[in-house]
Parts: sequence; structure tokens; C-alpha cells
Amino acid sequence: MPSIESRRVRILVADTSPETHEMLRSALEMRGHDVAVTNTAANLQGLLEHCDVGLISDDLVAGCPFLLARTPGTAPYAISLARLAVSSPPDEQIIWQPDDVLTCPAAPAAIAARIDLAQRVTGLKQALDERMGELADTLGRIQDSFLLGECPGILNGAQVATFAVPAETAAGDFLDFHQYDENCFDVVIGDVMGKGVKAALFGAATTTRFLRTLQQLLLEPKRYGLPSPEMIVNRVRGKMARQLSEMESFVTICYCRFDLEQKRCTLVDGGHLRTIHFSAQDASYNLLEGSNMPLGFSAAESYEQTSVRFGDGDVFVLYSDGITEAQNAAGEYFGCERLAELVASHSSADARTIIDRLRGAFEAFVQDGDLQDDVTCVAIKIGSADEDLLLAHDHLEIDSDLTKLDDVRHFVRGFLTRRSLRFVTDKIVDDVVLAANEAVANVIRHALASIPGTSIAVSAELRRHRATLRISHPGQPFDRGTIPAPLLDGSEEGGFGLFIIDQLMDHVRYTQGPADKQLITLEKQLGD
Amino acid sequence: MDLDIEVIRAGEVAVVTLPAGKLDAGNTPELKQAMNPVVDEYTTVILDMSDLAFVDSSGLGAILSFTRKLAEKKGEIRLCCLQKPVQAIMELVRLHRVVDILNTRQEALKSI
Repeated sequence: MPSIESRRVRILVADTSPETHEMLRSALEMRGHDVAVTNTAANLQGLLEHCDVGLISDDLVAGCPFLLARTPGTAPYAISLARLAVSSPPDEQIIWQPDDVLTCPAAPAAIAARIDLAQRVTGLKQALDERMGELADTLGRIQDSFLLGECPGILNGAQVATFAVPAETAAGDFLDFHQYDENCFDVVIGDVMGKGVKAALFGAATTTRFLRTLQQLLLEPKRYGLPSPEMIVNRVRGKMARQLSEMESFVTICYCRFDLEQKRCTLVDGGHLRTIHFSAQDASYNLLEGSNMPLGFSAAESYEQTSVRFGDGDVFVLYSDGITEAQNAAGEYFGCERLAELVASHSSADARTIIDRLRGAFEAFVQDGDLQDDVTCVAIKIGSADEDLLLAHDHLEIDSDLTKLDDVRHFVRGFLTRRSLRFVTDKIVDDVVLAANEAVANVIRHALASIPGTSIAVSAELRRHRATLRISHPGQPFDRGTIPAPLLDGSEEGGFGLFIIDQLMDHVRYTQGPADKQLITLEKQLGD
Repeated sequence: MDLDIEVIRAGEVAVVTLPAGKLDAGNTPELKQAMNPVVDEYTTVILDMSDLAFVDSSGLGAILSFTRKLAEKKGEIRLCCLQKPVQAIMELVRLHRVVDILNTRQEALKSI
């Protein structure tokens, strides 16, 4: 805890009595504090904003709505000046909430003691605020790093999309994916009882436990095929039941495996919310529910899996109670049925669009209400992936400066290699990195030569069969047709940049972009 | 910012090790500046590019300018130890037809 040092305090004395001004000023200045005085309520709020402590008589408070509305602990620290032998008739009594009361007249030592107290309280509150800020930051990092897994990459005939909004104090939702290959992946969604650090850490511990258990099972000798969901959950239950019981906590989970070859979803429901399964063939939805209890309820619980078949166009949605138990201004719950109806009505869209629609409907329902709980939702859309579906996108902004070319290459390489996709080969990555480097270098040296330091935007998109870079800048337009091909006989030292771009990329366009910007579009076809 | 190159005299030949990392429009002017005295003093130069992971068109331009300056005084240049992406860009602009590219420093020295 930081030490609370005595220091010069900025004090405002607000009182109509010159005697009170004099008494307080001499006592406080003697202690080295800065003292300002006022005898009117006019601009009292403005004066207080520049002070650490306000000594305020009740008769001035009446003219200051800021003070009438304040709650204890609000800056600045406020001390009510009460007078001995002066009593207001009850109907004129001002009711407000100072942090302390000082009865006047008072001895200089008593006045100084109250200011010391104000300093200590203010210092402690500041330290507490800082700790709370650090805690919230830590919780946010846990949420981002451990509680929300990255969606599966490329899948043969399914798309996955998520949305998650953490509550202000993390509430222990977690969501993770285990992808085995392009035909099989698991989704683990869960909710730890309780809120705050304990829930967040338990959520992180649970996802880690699932991952570790899966690794151990996969490494077991003589194993043929993948461990089943019920085998995984039972093994995790064995490892976690005691800790959860000792910590008086439990975790609801739903562990789902999607086998895209067998077209089967196998799930273990451990007291989690019912999984929505929209069947395109039946044009209706089912709510999938198991009979198992949450992890931590019983060490003897034996988890059992159930399975359903699915077909093209089906949609599965897993979610947390942060959605279904959210209330609108009228006190109505969002509810599972409302969610399922929304899934059904948007089921023809791709997974990302379904999630966006659900999110939009949810936000419209709760409006500006504070989220009391984490909101986590994942949609799995079955069906041949749209060949043109956007798999990933990212954005970089740099100053028009040749030393920033490193950043451009790093950005493009990172974007293309982050997902380890087999159809993005090393050669493709090298080609796109070089072409991006050449295009941005040309922009800096030619289009923006007269306006250095201008911003250049580079956006990257990845689809199943192509990678696209767009370089946008506010410089001179460029007509590609005016630049002849370079001679490649060693007689020229420059002019290779455009040639290299044309050779390496499959499509190159120089066009007028939005907002009067020039746009260079580079496209590269991907393998397979 | 200065760019450090290592120059080793091998008889009448200068063997220059280019700095690790990249040779792009951002640092090509520094390379040209560092190479000027070498190109002035020697007639034959070997550029060892083993530590160079990336070269762009500006870097190619710089190498071509060294080639021309040396050719003007009947000298020549050899490149050696190219990493794969660097080799690829050289071939893309047919530089390998203008400048001799060798696998190792020894091969480069032997070729002179």
C-alpha cells in the first residue's frame, strides 16, 4: 500500500462569516496549506473543482446543486462547517452528505487534524481506485487471453462465428475450440458460478484443464481415434471435482463435437443451457438438453453424451445465461425461445451474419442497460462454405516514411502466416510481402513525395481462394499505362517496382477510392 | 543512420558482407554511401548476402549501380550466398543474367 504523505493541500473555505474565514485561514496556512475563501455560492462548484478539500457552511450548500447531489467519497473531500449555538428551524435545514463535520469555532489543532484525516482518506481512496483499475485490467486480460478461444480455421462444410461481451466484473464465461482437422472440431462453452477474479480464474483453469486432458488422452498409447466427448468430460470431472468442491464453486459446461464427415453433433451437457439446433430440412428448431449436473456438483457424476445428425443448412447456437437472463427496461427476460426464434428466422444466412443479427437483436433488447453478466454466443452453420466467405481481415496504418516498410512487411507476413493455412504457401507469402513492399514504397516515393508524414492505410483480406491487399493514400492519382516496362538488360537501375508487382500478383488495380483517396488493390490467388 | 558493412581484402578483391536483415528503399541510400569507397578503391567486388533475408527493387537498383560503376573501370561484381527469396527476386528481374551469382564465397573467389 502506498504511504500517505503529508503534503500541501488545496483548501477552499466557503462560509459567509469573515471570522470563520480568518480562523480557518490562519490555522491552515500555519500548517503550510493553500487556502482560498469565498462567501458566496456563486461558482462554488467551479472553485471546488480546483481543490482537494472544501470546508463548506450549510447555508452556502443550499445554493449549490453540485453539493446537494454529492455522495460521500466524491472528490473533492467535503467537510461541513457546523456552528455551535446556531440552530436552523427544521424546515430550513439543509440535507447533504459531506465526508466529515467540523464544529466551529474550533481549535487550530482540531482543524489541522481534520485536514490530516481528509488527506489520509483521499489517499487511501486513490490507492484503492488504482488497485481496482489494475484488477479490472487483469480481469479483462484474463477474459481476452484465456476465456475466449480462437474460432476454428478452415472447415469442410461449416462456419463458426462468435460474439462475446464481458460484464464489467468478469463473470466466468468461457468458450474454447479444439480443431482436429478440417472435418472435426469441438466446442466447449461454460459458465463458472460467481463473479469477479475467482470466477475468471476458475474459467481459465477449466479451459486449461480441458485442453490438458485432451492432450493426455490423445497421447495415450494404443488409442485409436479421438477420445469421445464423454470420455473427456469424465476425465476433467475426475481432476476438478475436488478443487471445485473445496472452493464451493461449480461450472456448467456443454462440450460439443462436430464431425462434418459423419454429419453428427455429439454433446455432453453438464447443466448448461439448452443448445439450439435449427434443422433446415424440418424448418424448425430443437433445444438439445442433457441430464448431467454441472462440474463440481458431485464427484460421482458420470457424464453421458447424446448425439444428433445434421444436414446442410442446419444451425447450432450455444450461449451463456448472460443472453437469456438479460432483462429489458420492462423487466422481461430475453429468454431461450426468443433466441431460438431469431436463429430460425436468420438461419439461411452465414454464421457471421447470424451472429451479427443475434447481437443486434440482443443489444436492441437491453438497450443501454448495464450488463450484469458475461454474454457469450457461438453459431455453427453447417453447409458448404461460401467460396467467397471472408476468413480474416486486418488493417495497418503507417506514416509515409520509407523506414516504415519494415512494418508493412511484418504486417502482411503476420496476417498470412498466423493461421498456418496449407493453401497459403511460403512462396505465396514471400510474393505478397514483396509486392506490398513495392507498392507502398512507390506510394511514399512518388504519390506522396510532396506530402511526407501523411498516413497510408493497408488493409488485408483473406478468402478461401485469394488474398487481397488494399493500399489507400491521399496522394497523386496514378495511371499505370503511362509507365513502360523496364529493360532487364542491366542498363537501368530503377523502374522494377511496378514490374515486380505485376509479375507476382494475379490482379493489380489502381483506382480512385472513397473519400478522395487513391486505392491500389493487389490480389493473389491461393493454392489448391 | 550509418550502415555497417564488413569489407575483407582478398588480394585485389574486396569481399563485402552485407548487413543482416533487409535491403529496401529505407536503407539503400546508406548502403550506397557505405559502398562508395569500396567501389572507388577496388575493381572486383564480391557481395556476400548470406545474412540478407529481404531485398526489394531499390536494393536491386543499388546492386546494379555498383555493377555499372565497376564495369566503367573494367571491373566486375559477384554475388554469393543468396537466401531463397533474394534469389527469387534476382531471377524475376533477370539480374542473374547480368551479374554472376554463386552459391558460396569460395566459388565466388574461384570464379575471378
